[in-house]
Amino acid sequence: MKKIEKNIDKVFLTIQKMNGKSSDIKKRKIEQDQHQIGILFLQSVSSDDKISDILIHSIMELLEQNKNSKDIFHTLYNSLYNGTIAEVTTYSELFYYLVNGFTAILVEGIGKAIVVETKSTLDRGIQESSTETSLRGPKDSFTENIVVNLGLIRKRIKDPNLYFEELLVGRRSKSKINIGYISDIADNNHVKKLKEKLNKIDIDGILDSGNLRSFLNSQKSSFPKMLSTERPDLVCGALLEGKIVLLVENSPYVLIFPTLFVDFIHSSDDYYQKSQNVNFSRFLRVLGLFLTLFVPAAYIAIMTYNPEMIPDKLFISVAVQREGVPFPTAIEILILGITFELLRECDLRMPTKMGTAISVVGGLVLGDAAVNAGIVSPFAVIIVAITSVAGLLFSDIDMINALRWWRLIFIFFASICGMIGVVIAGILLLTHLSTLETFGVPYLTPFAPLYYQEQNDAILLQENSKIKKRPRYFTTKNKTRLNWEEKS
Amino acid sequence: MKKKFCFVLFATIILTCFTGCYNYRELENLAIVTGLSIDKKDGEYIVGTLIANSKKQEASSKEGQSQSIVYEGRGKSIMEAFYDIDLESPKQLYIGHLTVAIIDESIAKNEIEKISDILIRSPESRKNFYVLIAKDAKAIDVLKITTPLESFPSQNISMNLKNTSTYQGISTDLTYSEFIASLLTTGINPTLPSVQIIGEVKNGEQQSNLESTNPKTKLKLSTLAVFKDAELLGYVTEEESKMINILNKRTSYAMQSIKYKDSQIVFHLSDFKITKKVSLAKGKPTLFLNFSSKAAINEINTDANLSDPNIIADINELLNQKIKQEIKKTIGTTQNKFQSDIFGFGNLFYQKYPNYFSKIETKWDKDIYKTLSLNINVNIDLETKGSLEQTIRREMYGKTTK
Repeated sequence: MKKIEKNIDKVFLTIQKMNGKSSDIKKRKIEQDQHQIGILFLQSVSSDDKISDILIHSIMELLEQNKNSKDIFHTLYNSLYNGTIAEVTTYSELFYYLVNGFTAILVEGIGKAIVVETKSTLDRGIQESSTETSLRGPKDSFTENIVVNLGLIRKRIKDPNLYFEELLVGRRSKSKINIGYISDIADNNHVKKLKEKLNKIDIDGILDSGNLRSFLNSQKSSFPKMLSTERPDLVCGALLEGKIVLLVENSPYVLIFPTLFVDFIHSSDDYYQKSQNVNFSRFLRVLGLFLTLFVPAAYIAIMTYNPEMIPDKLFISVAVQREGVPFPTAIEILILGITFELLRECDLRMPTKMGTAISVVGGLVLGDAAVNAGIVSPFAVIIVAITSVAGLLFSDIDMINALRWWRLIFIFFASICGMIGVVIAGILLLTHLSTLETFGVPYLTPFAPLYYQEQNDAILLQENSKIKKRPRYFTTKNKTRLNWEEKS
Repeated sequence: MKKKFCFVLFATIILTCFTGCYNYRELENLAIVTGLSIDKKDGEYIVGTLIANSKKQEASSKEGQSQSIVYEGRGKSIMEAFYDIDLESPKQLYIGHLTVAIIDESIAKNEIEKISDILIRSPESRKNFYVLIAKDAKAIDVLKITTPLESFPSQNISMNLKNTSTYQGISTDLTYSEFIASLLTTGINPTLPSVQIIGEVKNGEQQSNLESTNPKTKLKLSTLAVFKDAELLGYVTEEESKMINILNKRTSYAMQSIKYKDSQIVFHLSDFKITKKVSLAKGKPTLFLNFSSKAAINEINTDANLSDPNIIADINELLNQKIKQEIKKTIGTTQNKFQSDIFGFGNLFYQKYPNYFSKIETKWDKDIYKTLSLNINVNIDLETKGSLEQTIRREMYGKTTK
């Protein structure tokens, strides 16, 4: 660790050398009477206004007032108008503060520097969430600024027991990661385990919370075992349930641990509406889950192995539609399915302005033209449409993609052994899901193992005033959620 | 890794073996047989199959626009006749969606059990198709008649059978498995619905038959055919058909008209509750039959005062009498004319007095059934008069006459 030199010019030179004479390093030397003061900052991450209007202004005033002071360094340190101030002695520290938007104040002849926060706000401000929209409920969403994100959570939970522990991960990126939990609800073992895992990560950079996924999950599975969300209210709800959240600098997505399968059919909107109405939406989501997995497979199985299962009238119209289609049913479904996935992928990558072109072409390809050309049968188009729409019911992209994989597996089994194959694939899926666990909690909780009391917010949601206990599977501390006597 | 490899290998072997169990077939390679007819000529069976998905017209894909075609095959057995058809048809015959099977009268008269085997043995067939006797016509001709309201003759017959059976009771929607069951059950003889061709077969075969608003050739359901074991004995009348269906609980509604003064009153009967009990008091087989139902007036053309509860009671009593008489007549016909127990009274004896029945089983239909004494109790509840309180005639010509 190289110590900061006493000579200001030397310090300037060293810093410039360290950073390959980058263009955004700005320095200034103020000479007044006997004092020589150096100011150093990175223009790209600092606010010019703060430096010129406040910092330099206050330095000048202080210098004027203490013309004859011997120890100007301490005077500055004690009297500068700023909330965040620190004293650094080594170059690595100094540089770390500089890149974080601090301004360093050097005094000639003293081998130390004062760093003062002059960060510029390099974020887009709090906006409405674009990936998790809500009809009813808070509209704000996390941003890339971790301080703002913490603020959004603190704003909602004013409990002193809400802890945020900060770690730095990434050799080069030095990303701040905050572990948030409510200390008297969450299980401390989980927090400890999580910290251990995070501390082990020795990587050059963490750019988004998504980078952490593979380090925190040892089991191989396409199913997501942590929920990433942009919505502060969802995160606060999880904190209150005793879960642990992970905020990563520069990522608007906050990770929630532990996340179970059932959490993906919940949405934060659910808790703001009448439970009877929510239950219908929940039913639709579960239906969507089954439809997206089973419909194409069942279609192939029934059409090619078990045609006797189709009702009489439907059978003939389906058979007549299939007439002249050159591909086997399984291939037909795959062609349509892959075309749909192509369009979706296109839609994701393309700027919105080109989106219209895609939807026109997509509508033509998937719809009328393909049928008219005799490549696919109209019924197959309907099947793929139902499947795709049902598959997009979930807000989590990882879940959607996991279901996409499994849909292919189902189709594969259905096309080699019909309904038996569908059943086999179903058993495989169930076995796979029940082998998964997060932080010792089985993935299929509260169904397997069955927690009777927690069924009030599993598939069906009970009235908010009746859910009085927290779920038992995350934490056993502090179980009561609600004290409320129903008045007759 | 090794474990995983073994698993994949194992799964592949198992799964590919399963394909042998189940038959992979693409729908477009199947010739969907919705109607089947069986005739016999010169010791050979003539099997007709009505294929539903014969041709796709242009880009249209609606059921209504698909054409149907009848293939004919000959053979010493039904299966051989099927193979004969396979030579003509480019697609494989598929009888999983069979809706109706039409059987020729002459086969029904003496060997219906011989042709029954194949349809129940084939794992593909669903056994819930309807079986009909072609009355006064060749069975294959029934399949050939084009029909206006439904796309295929088979659909036409099955829909017609279902509706007639439910709302009128003249015909009955007896499925194949039910037919076989009644064929095999002790003490009961089967009945089958029958179908007739009205008009020339030649005209009916043409698509042009449909172009006219009044098609020259039509299919019409006829009355029930009565069997003794596997032998067709003859047909009952419409009234008797209806009564048989009511007593066998195969219909939910029925019409009944009675003569009242100088005009007819038509009733709509529903909610049948029929209990049949048998007894062997003094060694004499007796049947106790309780019949109760609800009735509503459907049509009435007299000037009787319907507000008068006495008159309503009169009418109700008349209806009771009429139904009782009809039941007696119907059972009487089967006792005397056909000597065939199609109601399953014998089966009731078999259940209640197994020792007695086993002694007389062979002569039940021929000798004992005739002597079965009837104890019939009819109780009909005339519930409603429909939407009119009085009759129109009475409203018009005043209340002077009674």
